[in-house]
Amino acid sequence: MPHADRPQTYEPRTDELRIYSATSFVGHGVDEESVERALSYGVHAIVAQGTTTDAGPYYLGTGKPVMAEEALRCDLEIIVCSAHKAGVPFIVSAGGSGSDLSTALSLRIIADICRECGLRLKVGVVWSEIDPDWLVDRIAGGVEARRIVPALRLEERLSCETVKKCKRIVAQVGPEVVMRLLSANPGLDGVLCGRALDVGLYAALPLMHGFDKGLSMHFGKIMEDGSLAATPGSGNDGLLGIIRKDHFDVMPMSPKRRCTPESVVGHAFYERSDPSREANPGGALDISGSTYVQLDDRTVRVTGSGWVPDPEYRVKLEGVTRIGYRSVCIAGVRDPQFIRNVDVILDECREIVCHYFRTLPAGSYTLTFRVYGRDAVLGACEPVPVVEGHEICILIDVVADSQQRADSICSFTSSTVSHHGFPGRLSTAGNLAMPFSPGRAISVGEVYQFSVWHALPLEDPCEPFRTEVVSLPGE
Amino acid sequence: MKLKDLASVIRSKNASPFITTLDMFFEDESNYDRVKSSGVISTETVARVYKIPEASVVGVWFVDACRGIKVSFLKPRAADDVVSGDLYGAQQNAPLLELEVT
Repeated sequence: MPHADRPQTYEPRTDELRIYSATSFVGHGVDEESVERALSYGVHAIVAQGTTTDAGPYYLGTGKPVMAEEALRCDLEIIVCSAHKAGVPFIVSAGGSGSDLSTALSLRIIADICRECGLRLKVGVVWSEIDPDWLVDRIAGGVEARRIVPALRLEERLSCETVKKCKRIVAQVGPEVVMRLLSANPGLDGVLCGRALDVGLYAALPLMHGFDKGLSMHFGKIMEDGSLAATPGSGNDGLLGIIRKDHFDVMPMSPKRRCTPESVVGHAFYERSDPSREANPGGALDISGSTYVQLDDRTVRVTGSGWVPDPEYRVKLEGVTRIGYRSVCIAGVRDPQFIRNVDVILDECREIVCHYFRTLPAGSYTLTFRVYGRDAVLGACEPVPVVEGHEICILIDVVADSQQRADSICSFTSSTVSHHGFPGRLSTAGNLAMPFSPGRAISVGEVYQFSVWHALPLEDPCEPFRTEVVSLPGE
Repeated sequence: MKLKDLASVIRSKNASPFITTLDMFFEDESNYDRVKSSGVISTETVARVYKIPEASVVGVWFVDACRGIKVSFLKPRAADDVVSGDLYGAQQNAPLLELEVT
């Protein structure tokens, strides 16, 4: 691949764009040597995604970052400083859930980096939290946001009531928002997004320069997790991508890795329900006819990416509702007679707990016994729902309408199981081995669930998002 | 032969909190062809081994280009359900391991 001059402006390029995907996730680690190598190829942007729902609804509910602040700082510093050194923009999403709290944290971290490294940057910020009143107005006005997955918990059509019950709702920033920020602000040093369509971050620059839509989105799909598309894969190393008129090439920067057709196609499988087609805002990526060719030892060339446009543009909404507070007790059991009778013992204990807390309103708490060694991992899907080993773990899991109540039910349940009698019992001093203190009830905190997982039609892909351009480090 | 003896990867992960997706990869072309042509990986099999309705199976795909098979199904309990035991869905592969491939 040729070296080239680094462009300092956003003049449209039609020959090729070279983009470096720095990591699989902002906070998972960025390899500095690989970034150095990427810069020698004259990259036009450094891109990284750092938002997800994988870690569950807790982070959107609380606004806390998914990755440790220190890890965010570490990765953002390399990305921001390397982009500055190369005179190219960075395009990142960071913080985890896309809550405005976590976006503000990421912005503050970038400001700190600027201060420490003596950089003066103009950064575009896209806030992805959605104003619930705006959404309620849209729905009340007849806009239908349909659920994306036919899961029973989700309303087929999102209602105003559900929106109002949500603790927080975000929408996925599409490539159009990033494109508009970059075009309206030439010379921008970078873009920081809250919750973003991962693919869109990598596709934004190619789309802005007029590259084919299907190809750009496919490019984004392969690039979005850095060198997870290489072999051996890694979550903390990057991938260089070069997109041209009718194909793109991808290669890892670390000499330890290579891209092969298998590694690249295989990556298209990852965390996706359908390996050939993927719904996106405004259309679907169709890669059923794509070809993957080994170009040299470490580079794969991809061609044949299709795009099937939708009649309307729909943005994905993610929203969470608080369903209670959790308290847990982790306990081991080694007594063979207890283990043999575990199902009966836990049923009897549940009855005792229910009776003891009989005055509580129905549905105000749930008590779950997770029996590790039996079926705690697979649940109803477990093909062997019996204990075969000599030791089990019982995780007593209580979710109730206040932390105090959850703790109280969990603690009572724990002591009940610990002292419950059963036929043939020898260890009459206690049934449970608690590994540490606190033992009977550990306060876990708030519990959330996704109640919004819907696609909202939009006239303008940028409409729900608040954007601004900030000068960093600022005052 | 069992599936676990023919595949080089048998993994599971969430594709959203509501869908489990299972990937199988084969280093050996003949092993891949054998599993594919045996018909053992099907909507019916997935429904049976995971004890879910056939209607919950989103799809079964064979991708020759990477000798890969993908199966996706709606979870009986969402990953963030209070009684769910696998937030990332990364340990849902076991029921496939012992499948007999004829």
